[in-house]
Amino acid sequence: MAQLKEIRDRINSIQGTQKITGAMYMIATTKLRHAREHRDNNAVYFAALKNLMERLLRHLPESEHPFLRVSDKLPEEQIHGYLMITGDKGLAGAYNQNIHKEVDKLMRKNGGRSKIFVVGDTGRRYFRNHNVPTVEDFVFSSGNPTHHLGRMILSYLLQHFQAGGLDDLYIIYTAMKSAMEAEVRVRQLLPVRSSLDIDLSRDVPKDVYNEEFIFSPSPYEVIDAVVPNYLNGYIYSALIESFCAEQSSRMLAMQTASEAASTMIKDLNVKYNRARQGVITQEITEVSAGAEALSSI
Amino acid sequence: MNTFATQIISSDGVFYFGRLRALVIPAVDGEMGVLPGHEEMIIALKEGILRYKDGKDVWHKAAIGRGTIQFANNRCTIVVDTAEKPEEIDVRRAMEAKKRAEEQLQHALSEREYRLMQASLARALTRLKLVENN
Repeated sequence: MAQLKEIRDRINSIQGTQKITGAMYMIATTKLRHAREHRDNNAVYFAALKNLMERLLRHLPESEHPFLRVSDKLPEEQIHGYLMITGDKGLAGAYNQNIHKEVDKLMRKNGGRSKIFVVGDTGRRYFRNHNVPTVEDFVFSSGNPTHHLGRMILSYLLQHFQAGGLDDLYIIYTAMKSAMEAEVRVRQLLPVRSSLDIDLSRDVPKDVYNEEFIFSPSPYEVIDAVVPNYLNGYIYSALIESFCAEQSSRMLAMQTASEAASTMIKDLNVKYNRARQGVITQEITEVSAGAEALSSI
Repeated sequence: MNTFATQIISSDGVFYFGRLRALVIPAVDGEMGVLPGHEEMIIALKEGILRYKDGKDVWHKAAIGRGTIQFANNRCTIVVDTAEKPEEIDVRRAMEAKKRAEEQLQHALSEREYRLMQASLARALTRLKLVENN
Protein backbone atom coordinates (compact mmCIF):
# COMPACT_ATOMS: atom_id res chain seq x y z
CA MET A 1 0.00 0.00 0.00
CA ALA A 2 2.86 2.32 0.86
CA GLN A 3 4.23 2.02 -2.66
CA LEU A 4 0.86 2.94 -4.18
CA LYS A 5 0.66 6.17 -2.22
CA GLU A 6 4.20 7.08 -3.17
CA ILE A 7 3.45 6.72 -6.86
CA ARG A 8 0.23 8.69 -6.52
CA ASP A 9 2.13 11.54 -4.82
CA ARG A 10 4.76 11.55 -7.54
CA ILE A 11 2.08 11.76 -10.23
CA ASN A 12 0.36 14.61 -8.44
CA SER A 13 3.58 16.53 -8.05
CA ILE A 14 4.49 16.10 -11.71
CA GLN A 15 1.02 17.19 -12.72
CA GLY A 16 1.50 20.34 -10.64
CA THR A 17 4.78 21.10 -12.38
CA GLN A 18 3.23 20.41 -15.73
CA LYS A 19 0.55 22.98 -15.05
CA ILE A 20 3.24 25.57 -14.38
CA THR A 21 5.29 24.72 -17.46
CA GLY A 22 2.11 24.70 -19.53
CA ALA A 23 1.17 28.17 -18.28
CA MET A 24 4.67 29.46 -18.92
CA TYR A 25 4.52 28.03 -22.40
CA MET A 26 1.29 29.91 -23.09
CA ILE A 27 2.71 33.16 -21.72
CA ALA A 28 5.91 32.83 -23.74
CA THR A 29 3.89 32.13 -26.89
CA THR A 30 1.81 35.27 -26.47
CA LYS A 31 4.84 37.40 -25.67
CA LEU A 32 6.72 35.96 -28.60
CA ARG A 33 3.92 36.87 -30.97
CA HIS A 34 3.99 40.49 -29.83
CA ALA A 35 7.77 40.61 -29.82
CA ARG A 36 7.98 39.22 -33.31
CA GLU A 37 5.62 41.84 -34.65
CA HIS A 38 7.73 44.49 -33.01
CA ARG A 39 10.87 42.99 -34.47
CA ASP A 40 9.50 42.78 -38.01
CA ASN A 41 8.53 46.45 -37.89
CA ASN A 42 11.94 47.38 -36.66
CA ALA A 43 13.83 45.33 -39.25
CA VAL A 44 13.41 47.91 -42.04
CA TYR A 45 14.71 50.69 -39.84
CA PHE A 46 17.68 48.66 -38.74
CA ALA A 47 18.62 47.76 -42.31
CA ALA A 48 18.28 51.38 -43.44
CA LEU A 49 20.40 52.54 -40.54
CA LYS A 50 23.16 50.07 -41.36
CA ASN A 51 23.15 51.07 -45.03
CA LEU A 52 23.33 54.70 -44.12
CA MET A 53 26.23 54.14 -41.77
CA GLU A 54 28.16 52.18 -44.36
CA ARG A 55 27.60 54.87 -46.93
CA LEU A 56 28.64 57.53 -44.49
CA LEU A 57 31.85 55.74 -43.60
CA ARG A 58 32.66 55.13 -47.24
CA HIS A 59 32.38 58.78 -48.12
CA LEU A 60 33.78 60.27 -45.01
CA PRO A 61 37.00 62.17 -45.28
CA GLU A 62 39.70 60.91 -42.92
CA SER A 63 38.60 61.91 -39.47
CA GLU A 64 40.05 62.00 -36.02
CA HIS A 65 36.65 61.85 -34.39
CA PRO A 66 36.76 59.89 -31.10
CA PHE A 67 33.91 57.67 -32.30
CA LEU A 68 36.03 56.45 -35.19
CA ARG A 69 39.57 56.48 -33.84
CA VAL A 70 41.13 53.17 -32.92
CA SER A 71 42.85 53.29 -29.57
CA ASP A 72 46.65 53.47 -29.68
CA LYS A 73 47.19 52.10 -26.18
CA LEU A 74 49.10 48.88 -25.61
CA PRO A 75 46.81 45.85 -25.75
CA GLU A 76 47.29 45.02 -22.06
CA GLU A 77 46.40 48.55 -21.03
CA GLN A 78 43.21 48.74 -23.02
CA ILE A 79 39.87 48.72 -21.31
CA HIS A 80 37.26 46.77 -23.20
CA GLY A 81 33.59 47.40 -22.60
CA TYR A 82 31.08 44.59 -22.97
CA LEU A 83 27.41 45.31 -23.20
CA MET A 84 25.64 42.01 -22.76
CA ILE A 85 21.94 41.44 -23.00
CA THR A 86 20.57 38.63 -20.86
CA GLY A 87 17.11 37.76 -19.67
CA ASP A 88 15.55 38.88 -16.40
CA LYS A 89 14.45 35.35 -15.64
CA GLY A 90 15.86 31.89 -16.10
CA LEU A 91 14.01 28.81 -17.33
CA ALA A 92 14.67 29.70 -20.93
CA GLY A 93 16.78 26.75 -21.99
CA ALA A 94 20.36 27.67 -22.80
CA TYR A 95 19.50 31.27 -23.69
CA ASN A 96 21.34 32.90 -20.80
CA GLN A 97 24.16 30.36 -20.58
CA ASN A 98 25.09 30.89 -24.21
CA ILE A 99 25.52 34.63 -23.65
CA HIS A 100 27.67 34.05 -20.54
CA LYS A 101 29.85 31.58 -22.41
CA GLU A 102 30.36 33.99 -25.30
CA VAL A 103 31.31 36.85 -22.99
CA ASP A 104 33.81 34.68 -21.12
CA LYS A 105 35.34 33.62 -24.42
CA LEU A 106 35.55 37.18 -25.68
CA MET A 107 37.18 38.42 -22.50
CA ARG A 108 39.81 35.71 -22.66
CA LYS A 109 40.50 36.53 -26.29
CA ASN A 110 40.76 40.29 -25.84
CA GLY A 111 42.74 40.28 -22.63
CA GLY A 112 43.42 43.68 -21.11
CA ARG A 113 40.93 45.04 -18.61
CA SER A 114 37.21 44.58 -18.86
CA LYS A 115 34.17 46.57 -17.92
CA ILE A 116 31.01 44.56 -18.06
CA PHE A 117 27.68 46.26 -18.58
CA VAL A 118 24.88 43.80 -17.97
CA VAL A 119 21.28 44.22 -19.03
CA GLY A 120 19.02 41.70 -17.30
CA ASP A 121 19.08 40.03 -13.90
CA THR A 122 20.40 36.58 -14.77
CA GLY A 123 23.61 38.01 -16.18
CA ARG A 124 24.20 40.09 -13.07
CA ARG A 125 23.62 37.05 -10.85
CA TYR A 126 25.96 34.92 -12.93
CA PHE A 127 28.88 37.32 -12.58
CA ARG A 128 28.21 37.87 -8.89
CA ASN A 129 28.34 34.10 -8.32
CA HIS A 130 31.62 33.90 -10.20
CA ASN A 131 33.11 36.90 -8.39
CA VAL A 132 33.57 38.87 -11.59
CA PRO A 133 32.98 42.57 -10.99
CA THR A 134 30.45 44.26 -13.26
CA VAL A 135 29.66 47.96 -13.48
CA GLU A 136 27.52 48.28 -10.38
CA ASP A 137 25.25 51.19 -11.02
CA PHE A 138 24.40 50.00 -14.51
CA VAL A 139 21.07 48.39 -13.69
CA PHE A 140 18.66 47.86 -16.54
CA SER A 141 16.01 45.25 -17.09
CA SER A 142 15.59 43.55 -20.44
CA GLY A 143 11.92 42.75 -19.89
CA ASN A 144 10.44 45.61 -21.84
CA PRO A 145 12.55 46.87 -24.72
CA THR A 146 11.68 50.48 -25.56
CA HIS A 147 13.37 53.41 -27.24
CA HIS A 148 13.65 55.04 -23.86
CA LEU A 149 15.58 52.06 -22.48
CA GLY A 150 17.90 52.14 -25.48
CA ARG A 151 18.57 55.85 -24.99
CA MET A 152 19.28 55.40 -21.27
CA ILE A 153 21.72 52.58 -21.94
CA LEU A 154 23.47 54.48 -24.71
CA SER A 155 23.83 57.71 -22.75
CA TYR A 156 25.39 55.73 -19.91
CA LEU A 157 27.85 53.99 -22.20
CA LEU A 158 28.76 57.13 -24.11
CA GLN A 159 29.48 58.90 -20.87
CA HIS A 160 31.98 56.16 -19.98
CA PHE A 161 33.45 56.21 -23.47
CA GLN A 162 33.82 59.96 -23.70
CA ALA A 163 35.37 60.20 -20.27
CA GLY A 164 38.11 57.89 -21.55
CA GLY A 165 37.00 54.95 -19.44
CA LEU A 166 36.68 52.67 -22.44
CA ASP A 167 38.85 51.96 -25.46
CA ASP A 168 36.27 49.98 -27.29
CA LEU A 169 32.81 48.60 -26.80
CA TYR A 170 31.27 45.30 -27.82
CA ILE A 171 27.69 44.23 -27.75
CA ILE A 172 26.78 40.60 -27.11
CA TYR A 173 23.19 39.67 -27.80
CA THR A 174 21.04 36.89 -29.16
CA ALA A 175 19.45 37.12 -32.57
CA MET A 176 16.81 35.00 -34.18
CA LYS A 177 18.48 33.09 -36.97
CA SER A 178 15.24 31.58 -38.17
CA ALA A 179 11.77 31.33 -36.68
CA MET A 180 12.95 28.71 -34.20
CA GLU A 181 16.69 29.07 -34.01
CA ALA A 182 18.57 31.63 -31.95
CA GLU A 183 22.22 32.58 -32.26
CA VAL A 184 24.56 34.62 -30.09
CA ARG A 185 26.07 37.59 -31.93
CA VAL A 186 29.03 39.77 -31.06
CA ARG A 187 29.53 43.16 -32.68
CA GLN A 188 31.92 45.96 -32.02
CA LEU A 189 29.99 49.18 -31.47
CA LEU A 190 32.84 51.59 -30.79
CA PRO A 191 35.04 52.73 -32.42
CA VAL A 192 32.62 52.54 -35.30
CA ARG A 193 34.83 52.12 -38.31
CA SER A 194 36.01 48.59 -37.74
CA SER A 195 32.58 47.22 -36.86
CA LEU A 196 31.29 47.33 -40.38
CA ASP A 197 33.80 45.12 -42.11
CA ILE A 198 34.13 47.21 -45.19
CA ASP A 199 37.27 47.05 -47.18
CA LEU A 200 38.33 50.65 -47.46
CA SER A 201 41.39 49.85 -49.51
CA ARG A 202 39.25 48.45 -52.31
CA ASP A 203 39.73 50.38 -55.53
CA VAL A 204 36.76 52.19 -56.88
CA PRO A 205 36.40 51.52 -60.63
CA LYS A 206 37.27 54.60 -62.61
CA ASP A 207 34.26 54.67 -64.91
CA VAL A 208 31.76 54.56 -62.04
CA TYR A 209 30.33 57.83 -60.91
CA ASN A 210 31.40 58.27 -57.35
CA GLU A 211 29.08 60.68 -55.61
CA GLU A 212 30.60 63.34 -53.49
CA PHE A 213 28.54 64.12 -50.42
CA ILE A 214 28.32 67.34 -48.57
CA PHE A 215 28.21 67.06 -44.84
CA SER A 216 26.39 69.81 -43.07
CA PRO A 217 27.36 71.62 -40.87
CA SER A 218 30.67 69.69 -40.97
CA PRO A 219 31.75 66.04 -41.19
CA TYR A 220 32.73 66.14 -37.53
CA GLU A 221 29.31 67.33 -36.45
CA VAL A 222 27.52 64.88 -38.70
CA ILE A 223 29.42 62.04 -37.03
CA ASP A 224 28.63 63.57 -33.68
CA ALA A 225 24.93 63.39 -34.43
CA VAL A 226 24.72 60.29 -36.59
CA VAL A 227 26.85 57.86 -34.62
CA PRO A 228 24.84 58.06 -31.36
CA ASN A 229 21.73 57.66 -33.48
CA TYR A 230 23.13 54.62 -35.16
CA LEU A 231 24.24 53.13 -31.85
CA ASN A 232 20.87 53.86 -30.35
CA GLY A 233 19.18 52.06 -33.20
CA TYR A 234 21.62 49.19 -32.87
CA ILE A 235 21.09 48.78 -29.14
CA TYR A 236 17.33 49.08 -29.48
CA SER A 237 17.27 46.48 -32.23
CA ALA A 238 19.52 44.18 -30.22
CA LEU A 239 17.20 44.51 -27.22
CA ILE A 240 14.22 43.57 -29.35
CA GLU A 241 16.02 40.68 -31.01
CA SER A 242 17.17 39.35 -27.66
CA PHE A 243 13.72 39.64 -26.13
CA CYS A 244 12.30 37.75 -29.06
CA ALA A 245 14.96 35.05 -28.76
CA GLU A 246 14.41 34.77 -25.00
CA GLN A 247 10.70 34.18 -25.40
CA SER A 248 11.30 31.73 -28.18
CA SER A 249 13.80 29.66 -26.21
CA ARG A 250 11.58 29.76 -23.13
CA MET A 251 8.70 28.56 -25.25
CA LEU A 252 10.77 25.68 -26.57
CA ALA A 253 12.12 24.79 -23.13
CA MET A 254 8.65 24.79 -21.62
CA GLN A 255 7.28 22.71 -24.45
CA THR A 256 9.99 20.12 -23.91
CA ALA A 257 9.37 20.18 -20.16
CA SER A 258 5.63 19.69 -20.61
CA GLU A 259 6.23 16.80 -22.98
CA ALA A 260 8.71 15.21 -20.59
CA ALA A 261 6.15 15.55 -17.79
CA SER A 262 3.55 13.82 -19.94
CA THR A 263 5.82 10.83 -20.62
CA MET A 264 6.72 10.61 -16.94
CA ILE A 265 3.07 10.66 -15.92
CA LYS A 266 2.26 7.99 -18.48
CA ASP A 267 5.02 5.70 -17.19
CA LEU A 268 4.05 6.31 -13.59
CA ASN A 269 0.41 5.55 -14.36
CA VAL A 270 1.41 2.18 -15.81
CA LYS A 271 3.49 1.53 -12.71
CA TYR A 272 0.62 2.64 -10.47
CA ASN A 273 -1.88 0.37 -12.19
CA ARG A 274 0.51 -2.55 -11.98
CA ALA A 275 1.03 -1.95 -8.29
CA ARG A 276 -2.73 -1.65 -7.79
CA GLN A 277 -3.33 -4.91 -9.64
CA GLY A 278 -0.61 -6.52 -7.58
CA VAL A 279 -2.35 -5.46 -4.38
CA ILE A 280 -5.72 -6.78 -5.59
CA THR A 281 -4.23 -10.08 -6.71
CA GLN A 282 -2.59 -10.45 -3.38
CA GLU A 283 -5.86 -9.75 -1.58
CA ILE A 284 -7.68 -12.33 -3.67
CA THR A 285 -4.98 -14.88 -2.99
CA GLU A 286 -5.23 -14.14 0.68
CA VAL A 287 -9.01 -14.43 0.71
CA SER A 288 -9.07 -17.61 -1.31
CA ALA A 289 -6.25 -19.07 0.77
CA GLY A 290 -8.21 -18.19 3.90
CA ALA A 291 -11.39 -19.74 2.48
CA GLU A 292 -9.52 -22.88 1.54
CA ALA A 293 -8.03 -23.10 4.97
CA LEU A 294 -11.51 -22.78 6.48
CA SER A 295 -13.09 -25.39 4.20
CA SER A 296 -10.34 -27.91 4.94
CA ILE A 297 -11.15 -27.88 8.63
CA MET B 1 12.94 65.91 -62.87
CA ASN B 2 10.38 67.69 -60.78
CA THR B 3 9.95 65.01 -58.17
CA PHE B 4 12.33 62.84 -56.18
CA ALA B 5 11.91 59.37 -54.69
CA THR B 6 11.63 59.47 -50.94
CA GLN B 7 11.68 56.95 -48.20
CA ILE B 8 11.01 57.92 -44.62
CA ILE B 9 11.85 55.10 -42.26
CA SER B 10 11.21 55.11 -38.54
CA SER B 11 11.88 52.40 -35.99
CA ASP B 12 8.40 50.98 -36.33
CA GLY B 13 8.41 50.63 -40.07
CA VAL B 14 8.23 52.60 -43.30
CA PHE B 15 6.53 55.90 -42.58
CA TYR B 16 6.38 57.27 -46.12
CA PHE B 17 7.31 55.87 -49.47
CA GLY B 18 6.73 57.77 -52.69
CA ARG B 19 7.71 60.77 -54.78
CA LEU B 20 7.88 64.28 -53.41
CA ARG B 21 8.08 67.72 -54.95
CA ALA B 22 9.59 69.45 -51.96
CA LEU B 23 10.74 68.75 -48.46
CA VAL B 24 11.58 70.92 -45.46
CA ILE B 25 13.72 69.29 -42.79
CA PRO B 26 14.75 70.33 -39.27
CA ALA B 27 18.54 70.18 -39.49
CA VAL B 28 20.80 70.65 -36.50
CA ASP B 29 21.50 74.27 -37.47
CA GLY B 30 18.04 75.28 -38.64
CA GLU B 31 15.41 74.36 -41.19
CA MET B 32 16.44 73.44 -44.68
CA GLY B 33 14.56 72.96 -47.93
CA VAL B 34 15.18 70.10 -50.35
CA LEU B 35 14.06 70.21 -53.98
CA PRO B 36 14.43 67.66 -56.79
CA GLY B 37 17.97 67.23 -58.03
CA HIS B 38 19.53 68.39 -54.80
CA GLU B 39 23.24 68.02 -54.33
CA GLU B 40 24.44 64.78 -52.71
CA MET B 41 24.40 65.23 -48.98
CA ILE B 42 24.27 63.55 -45.61
CA ILE B 43 22.85 65.70 -42.86
CA ALA B 44 21.92 65.11 -39.25
CA LEU B 45 18.35 65.85 -38.22
CA LYS B 46 17.12 66.91 -34.82
CA GLU B 47 13.71 66.66 -33.20
CA GLY B 48 11.29 68.84 -35.09
CA ILE B 49 8.63 69.11 -37.71
CA LEU B 50 9.17 67.69 -41.14
CA ARG B 51 7.11 69.13 -44.01
CA TYR B 52 6.74 67.49 -47.38
CA LYS B 53 4.82 68.22 -50.57
CA ASP B 54 3.63 65.16 -52.43
CA GLY B 55 3.04 64.66 -56.18
CA LYS B 56 -0.42 66.25 -55.92
CA ASP B 57 1.05 69.44 -54.45
CA VAL B 58 -0.40 68.79 -51.00
CA TRP B 59 1.71 69.64 -47.98
CA HIS B 60 1.95 67.14 -45.11
CA LYS B 61 3.54 67.42 -41.72
CA ALA B 62 5.13 64.98 -39.34
CA ALA B 63 6.83 65.18 -35.97
CA ILE B 64 10.16 63.40 -36.13
CA GLY B 65 12.80 62.38 -33.65
CA ARG B 66 16.53 62.40 -34.22
CA GLY B 67 17.90 60.92 -37.37
CA THR B 68 19.65 61.44 -40.63
CA ILE B 69 18.79 62.42 -44.17
CA GLN B 70 20.79 61.38 -47.16
CA PHE B 71 20.25 62.54 -50.69
CA ALA B 72 21.92 60.88 -53.65
CA ASN B 73 21.01 60.46 -57.33
CA ASN B 74 17.68 62.20 -56.78
CA ARG B 75 16.77 59.68 -54.12
CA CYS B 76 16.16 60.71 -50.57
CA THR B 77 16.32 58.45 -47.55
CA ILE B 78 15.34 59.71 -44.14
CA VAL B 79 16.05 57.47 -41.18
CA VAL B 80 14.62 58.68 -37.87
CA ASP B 81 13.89 56.98 -34.58
CA THR B 82 10.28 58.18 -34.48
CA ALA B 83 7.90 59.74 -37.00
CA GLU B 84 4.27 60.61 -36.33
CA LYS B 85 1.47 62.25 -38.26
CA PRO B 86 -0.51 64.93 -36.39
CA GLU B 87 -3.51 62.62 -35.99
CA GLU B 88 -1.33 59.94 -34.41
CA ILE B 89 -0.09 62.12 -31.60
CA ASP B 90 -1.48 61.55 -28.15
CA VAL B 91 -1.74 65.10 -26.78
CA ARG B 92 -2.32 63.96 -23.23
CA ARG B 93 0.76 61.78 -23.27
CA ALA B 94 2.88 64.52 -24.79
CA MET B 95 1.68 66.99 -22.15
CA GLU B 96 2.55 64.57 -19.37
CA ALA B 97 5.93 63.88 -20.90
CA LYS B 98 6.59 67.61 -21.12
CA LYS B 99 5.67 68.15 -17.49
CA ARG B 100 7.73 65.21 -16.34
CA ALA B 101 10.74 66.33 -18.36
CA GLU B 102 10.50 69.88 -17.05
CA GLU B 103 10.34 68.69 -13.46
CA GLN B 104 13.22 66.30 -13.84
CA LEU B 105 15.25 68.89 -15.70
CA GLN B 106 15.25 71.02 -12.58
CA HIS B 107 16.40 68.17 -10.40
CA ALA B 108 18.83 66.62 -12.82
CA LEU B 109 21.80 65.30 -10.89
CA SER B 110 24.30 64.84 -13.64
CA GLU B 111 24.99 66.17 -17.06
CA ARG B 112 23.89 62.88 -18.52
CA GLU B 113 20.47 63.14 -16.91
CA TYR B 114 20.21 66.74 -17.98
CA ARG B 115 20.82 65.83 -21.61
CA LEU B 116 18.40 62.92 -21.54
CA MET B 117 15.69 65.13 -20.12
CA GLN B 118 16.43 67.92 -22.53
CA ALA B 119 16.02 65.52 -25.43
CA SER B 120 12.77 64.15 -24.08
CA LEU B 121 11.47 67.69 -23.53
CA ALA B 122 12.33 68.55 -27.13
CA ARG B 123 10.39 65.54 -28.34
CA ALA B 124 7.33 66.43 -26.29
CA LEU B 125 7.42 70.05 -27.44
CA THR B 126 7.68 69.04 -31.09
CA ARG B 127 4.64 66.82 -30.78
CA LEU B 128 2.60 69.52 -29.11
CA LYS B 129 3.66 72.13 -31.64
CA LEU B 130 2.59 69.95 -34.52
CA VAL B 131 -0.84 69.35 -33.03
CA GLU B 132 -1.37 73.02 -32.22
CA ASN B 133 -0.50 74.19 -35.71
CA ASN B 134 -2.86 71.81 -37.33
